[in-house]
Amino acid sequence: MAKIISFLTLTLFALDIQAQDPKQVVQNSLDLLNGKSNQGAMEMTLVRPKYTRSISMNSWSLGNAYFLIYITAPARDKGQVFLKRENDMWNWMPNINRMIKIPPSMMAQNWMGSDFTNDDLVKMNSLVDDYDHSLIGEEDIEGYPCYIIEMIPKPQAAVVWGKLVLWIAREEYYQLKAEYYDEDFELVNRMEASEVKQFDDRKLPAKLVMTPINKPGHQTIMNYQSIDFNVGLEESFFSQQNMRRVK
Amino acid sequence: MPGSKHFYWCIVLILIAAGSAFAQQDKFLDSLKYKTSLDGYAKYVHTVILPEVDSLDMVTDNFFHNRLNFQWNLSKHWTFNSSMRNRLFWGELVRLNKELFSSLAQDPGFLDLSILWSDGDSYALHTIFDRLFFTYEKGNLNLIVGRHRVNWGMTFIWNPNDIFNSYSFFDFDYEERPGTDAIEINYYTSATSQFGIVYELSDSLKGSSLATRYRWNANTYDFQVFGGYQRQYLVLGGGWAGDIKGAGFRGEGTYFISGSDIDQDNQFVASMDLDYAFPKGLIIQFSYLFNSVGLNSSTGDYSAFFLDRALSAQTLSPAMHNLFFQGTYPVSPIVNLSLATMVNPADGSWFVGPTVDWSVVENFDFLLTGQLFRGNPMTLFGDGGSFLFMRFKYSF
Repeated sequence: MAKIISFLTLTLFALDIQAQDPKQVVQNSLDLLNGKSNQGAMEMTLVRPKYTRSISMNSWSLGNAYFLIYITAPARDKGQVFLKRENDMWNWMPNINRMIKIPPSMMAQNWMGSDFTNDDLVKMNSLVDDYDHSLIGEEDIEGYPCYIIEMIPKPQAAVVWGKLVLWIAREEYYQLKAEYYDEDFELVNRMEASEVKQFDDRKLPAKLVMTPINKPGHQTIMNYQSIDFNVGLEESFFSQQNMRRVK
Repeated sequence: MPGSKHFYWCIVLILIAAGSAFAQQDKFLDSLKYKTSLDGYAKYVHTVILPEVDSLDMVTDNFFHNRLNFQWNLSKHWTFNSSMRNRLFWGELVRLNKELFSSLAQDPGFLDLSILWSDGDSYALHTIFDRLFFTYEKGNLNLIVGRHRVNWGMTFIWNPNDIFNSYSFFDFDYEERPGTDAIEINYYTSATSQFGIVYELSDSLKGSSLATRYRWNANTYDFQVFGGYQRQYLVLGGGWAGDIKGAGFRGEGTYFISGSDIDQDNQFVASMDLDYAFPKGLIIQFSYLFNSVGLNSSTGDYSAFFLDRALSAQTLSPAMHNLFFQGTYPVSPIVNLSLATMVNPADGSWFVGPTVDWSVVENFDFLLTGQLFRGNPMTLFGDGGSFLFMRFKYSF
């Protein structure tokens, strides 16, 4: 009898997994987060045991492939612009009127000293295409029932992580928690999202906190101040000409 | 103050522009705060110079340096920008180099936008507008008229392609560099390619420049080619910026063909950069500069140390071969360490420059950097001495 019950449970669980393809869940969460295109303003705060520093920026994006970021603060960096187009990335420095091509090795570096890499920020890797996904369980986060999805990079993908684990709300598709593991499967960073708010036509967590595991007192906090979705940006908007024009 | 017709002419232009806007005053004042921006920095730099290697005789120098960048969005298509560089020098260096500081009154450009407000025995107060330009932007077209920076460099340390404004690694306190009085037209042929023409104004045809450039991107590489006429030389050049297995790989070269009026060999200047960023933050950079008319011998007539020379893409270094290496490491998000070296392999002379850059609090930075030039007499770096700079910078 016990065997039958466990068999039934297993089968039902397997059916449930098939009904919710983990790859599709990740895709849905990205669609919610990015829309087709979006435009927003955010502030990133680095917290260290003895000091904090903030960077503010305006951003524009189209899918995963096109990003434009304009730094609004601090004063020292104001006016700098970053453009990503598929596998190319540039930095525009208005004070010296110079367009700099950013090589891929720079992408794995922490962005402006934060706990986010360039890669995290402009999503050089596709969470959908560059990983194999499997559903490994369910858990409630902040009252939202979540799928736990393990993501292993595909062999040919140029991904800095050895493994990612994502907690995605079953109903709402919020990415509420993420764990980043290195190539030895040691936990390196944990991301937690909170403060669900209305942004344009949808609700989303407004606050992301990235915590490095082995560095007590270190955090990077990302606060979204505004995001507008499906703003009709075309690929042509993400141009070197607009790097000089955006504000 | 010099009798600077161009300077007043520009002021008049600004006033006319402002006046016409004042005609609709209420609307104007209302919109001003959205249409204008002012930012910049204030720096205090203290310099200690030890001219001789084996003596502790020192010369000290101080200057206060303020930069004001002003932008005014005049209309949908027109923008006005100006940058004012104000410096107050005092100390022994001013006393010892009276002529050098008096010569600041002379603006090297076509427009005269330099004002030496006052210079005494041991101080000098100087203002220069190193940017003063209008931009017109419509569709794929971009037009820039006035004093602005034309930056064609692709590499980081030496820029043979940067024929309008040259950058000196040693002049670390002036990364903006002087502007060029020019008319520039750019046409964007795609999101990542552009065609441009720059005409640099001068009192005579011989002193002026006209060059055209095409810049594009293919297979994750940026490329550019250009050609033109610059101060009696025909110039042809090109450059690239891309990567090899993730490491930045850049290069640029310019060929200068001398006109019949000047008794000079043709010159080829080229540089190549490799840089790699390690995930933990360390960045290493290597650069090589070749100058076909440079000296390639163990001693040369470097008595007029090249730092004093008017810098151009042709005079980046008087040596034929030049090597550069730099390591930069962010100890934390607020402290950056770097160590740079340059070597002239022909005479064995070298330069080393250690730097600490510390963001003390938000918007307030402290920089400590040394520049040590070493080698036998009559070598490239042999008579350079030692410099120590301490800089406090407040950005706003």
